[in-house]
Amino acid sequence: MSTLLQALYEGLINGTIYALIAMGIALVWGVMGILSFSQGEFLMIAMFVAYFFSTATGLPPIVALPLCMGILFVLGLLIYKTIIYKALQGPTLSQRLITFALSLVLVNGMLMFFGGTFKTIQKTGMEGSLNVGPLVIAKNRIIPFLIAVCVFAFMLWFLNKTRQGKAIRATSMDKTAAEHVGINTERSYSLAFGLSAAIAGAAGCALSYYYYCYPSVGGNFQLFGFIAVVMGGFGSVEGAIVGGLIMGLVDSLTGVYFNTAFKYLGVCVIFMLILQFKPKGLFGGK
Amino acid sequence: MKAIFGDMNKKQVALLVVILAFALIAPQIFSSLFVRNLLILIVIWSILGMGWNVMGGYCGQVSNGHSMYYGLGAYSVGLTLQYFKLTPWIAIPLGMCLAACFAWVIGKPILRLKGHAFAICTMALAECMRYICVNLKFTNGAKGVSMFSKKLNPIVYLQFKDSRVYYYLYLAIMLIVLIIIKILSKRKFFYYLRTIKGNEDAAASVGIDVSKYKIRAYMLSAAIVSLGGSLYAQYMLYFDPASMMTLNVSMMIVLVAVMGGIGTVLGPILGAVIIECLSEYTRSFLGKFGGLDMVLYGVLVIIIVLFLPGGLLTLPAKIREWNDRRKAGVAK
Repeated sequence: MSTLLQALYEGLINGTIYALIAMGIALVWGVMGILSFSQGEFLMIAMFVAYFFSTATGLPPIVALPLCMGILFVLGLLIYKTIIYKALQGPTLSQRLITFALSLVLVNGMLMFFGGTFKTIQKTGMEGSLNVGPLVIAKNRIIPFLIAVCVFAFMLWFLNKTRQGKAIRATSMDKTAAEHVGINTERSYSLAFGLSAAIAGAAGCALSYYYYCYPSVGGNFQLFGFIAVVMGGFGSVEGAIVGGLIMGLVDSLTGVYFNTAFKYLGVCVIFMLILQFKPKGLFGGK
Repeated sequence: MKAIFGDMNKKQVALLVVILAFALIAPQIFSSLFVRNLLILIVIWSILGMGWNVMGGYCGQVSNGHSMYYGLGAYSVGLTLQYFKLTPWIAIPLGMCLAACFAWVIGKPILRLKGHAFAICTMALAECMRYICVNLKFTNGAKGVSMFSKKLNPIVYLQFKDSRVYYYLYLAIMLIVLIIIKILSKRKFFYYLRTIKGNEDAAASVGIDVSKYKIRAYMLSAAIVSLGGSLYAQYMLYFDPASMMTLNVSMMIVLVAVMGGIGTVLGPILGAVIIECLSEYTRSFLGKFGGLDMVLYGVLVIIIVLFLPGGLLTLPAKIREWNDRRKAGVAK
């Protein structure tokens, strides 16, 4: 029983990271219809920022959160203005390939400058663990969880309550109609891309608490993020969060009850099953 | 003959003959092993690109998981040799049939998906296959399969010392695939596929059995890519799941077709030439600077795909268009 509880808890914590990645992917997908392969690389860059900040100053990585999100937001905007803006006029497939080539550039650029060794932050200020009832809670998972919850809350508030958030949602529903009622869709696009990069930045900062960073760390998280987005419903931000949490749970439960090597298989089987019964995803509607 | 050259004018046929003649004498001109290796890789990747093109280019169902079939082809020659001492002359067609059957089984559920969802699903399946191959004892796990043996008869087991033999054999196989696709591209089957690409609902409403033809295209595509995988394994005589079945390989297959010209017969070959030259030469010149070769490769890919979304085959038309626009500007 306590194993099950522990597995559920670990799955939930891991799931929040997948959910963060998935949220960024869902935002870009929903608003401009691009399947962005560079999302995992944004996560990787943020992890490097958190690592260098933390080792240089000796402060815990949480202090670097605004820095991570800021740098990634600016980077996202720059990439949108230079590459994605032009790519949006081309076919969907070339947009996808361009983000893939961009991820190659980012991964190998980081490899060139910082090398491929695994780096971990030594002093997170959160070592050891707590015993809460039957659960053993590793202290270094608490802050990542809190960061993720705050980002979810902020994004849901931003997209549902603020003027600019509503403009982004309107753009994703119907671009032409949004333009007719006077929404600057160009601004929605660039903001959405920048925000998705900033979300990946927050995820990277959170992940750097307990994961080692190296240039190709983004790949696996990104694939899980993709699957979470399809599971949750294409391009729906709420769906992506739920999808990410499910991914985390399946991931940790198959790891505990079957074999860690076949974790991936478990995720894929659940994915195929969900698509069999709900081809549009859990929150896909229609 | 008419089915192959029917729609070309004399100039295009002449150009094709020149290119073919060059391909035939190329390994005689270049004696360095590097260039000969490059030539063989170009031939293999054009087969892969043509295979993907059936599904992604003609039918419009973009799969990002064709490395699955690439790996399947490689394993089918590697494992049959290891366990049954089967000659690749039988194992390669066997692998193609296996890939087609596999595509039929998984095509049923996943071909209902569209667009990005289909791409992600194929991607996840390919990753799944990789994990299975890495973890099974039967497939030698992450060690991979080594096929080299001095004792085997070179002709029966396709293990030659001289890479030129591989080149000519593979070139012949590629030409056969090319001719088959060229003939098919004028047949009803491929017209149906193009209709499905254009608009699925419209295709269904004029009486095309959409799911049947999609599955057939997927099977054909899988079989051709499996052939490419077998040929690669047979040339390298060693492969492992970590290098065969990754997302990067899947995306390279897509890039080969898209760079040359998606949905065209000759596009994948042109794409393979460009992609392989780019990746091999950047690696050999800049490989010593860590990741610089891949950075340059990525930047070049971005530039080409950004400015020529229709592929390099559209370059002459694009240049003509630019020229016209410039002339119009001057006239004003």
